[in-house]
Amino acid sequence: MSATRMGRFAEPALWILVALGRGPAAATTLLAAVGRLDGQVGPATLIGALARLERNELIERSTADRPPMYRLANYSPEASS
Amino acid sequence: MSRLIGLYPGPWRARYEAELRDLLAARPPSLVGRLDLVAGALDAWLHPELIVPGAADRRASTRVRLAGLAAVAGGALWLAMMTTQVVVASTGRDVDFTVAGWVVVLLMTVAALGATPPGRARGVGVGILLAGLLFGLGVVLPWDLKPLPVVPLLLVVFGGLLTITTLRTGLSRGAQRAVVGVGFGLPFPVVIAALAGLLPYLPSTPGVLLSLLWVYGVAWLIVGGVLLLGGGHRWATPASPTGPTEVAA
Repeated sequence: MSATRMGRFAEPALWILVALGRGPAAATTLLAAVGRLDGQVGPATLIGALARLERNELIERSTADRPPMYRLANYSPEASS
Repeated sequence: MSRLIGLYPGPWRARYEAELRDLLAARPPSLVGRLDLVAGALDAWLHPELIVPGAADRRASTRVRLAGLAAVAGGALWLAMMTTQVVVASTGRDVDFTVAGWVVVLLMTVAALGATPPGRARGVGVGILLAGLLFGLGVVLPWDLKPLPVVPLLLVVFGGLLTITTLRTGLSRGAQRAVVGVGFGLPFPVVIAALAGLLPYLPSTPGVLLSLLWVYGVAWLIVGGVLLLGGGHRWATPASPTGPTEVAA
């Protein structure tokens, strides 16, 4: 798969990865977490960064949950504890 | 707010609308937040491949075919111009080809930009713009000074545009060299040298000399035809076997 360039989404994407390092989270949780780590980020920017991270297979999106939960690709609860 | 969400493409809304509404409910957007939504919509339209697998390939394919159409149209108009020039020259009259000439350059520029891989289009575009500005400057200069910038720029613009477009056809290197060499490298220097009186054994009638430039139009028709038939797909973004990763459970 070709890598998708992160562009202006690189920084929020980095903070999303940091936030997801603590465990799976929904978009609303991530918005608050990224806000705490790096200041306010717009909802559309957050979704754009999530879409790119998914596309680059760095995170996964669970459709079994409502709202959908995001987790690091190959995330295992044991490794993060 | 729904109107702003309506700006997003359908596949994007199908995937993210509920989440976006949750985010907006959790934190009602300020003016900056609304601008963020508009910018996000623009981004979603510009990057459909984030949601729909293969969208980038389809867009690249459309670009190449549009480039092919522009190349064919430019080549055909060039041939019509040269033919008219030869016919008119035989009657001793003069026809102003300024508008037609600019349309030809515009069509060939569209072809070159359309056939350029997306990552390099900006650099090629800036180069073409600079050449166009210099060319325009050459046109408005006093007549005595015209040959200085116009002739080299004619070579750069017409040769560059054909070369850039031909490079993306997917033809073999040999075929590319043949198209650019026969279509541009041979006739243009010969005609310019003859018009400058450097080749006295060639007829100096402009109409006859300009008929040598027919092959340039034919070269564009060939390049455009190859692009239209799908020969330019070599540079298209590699297809992704899957869309965004989703975990079902």
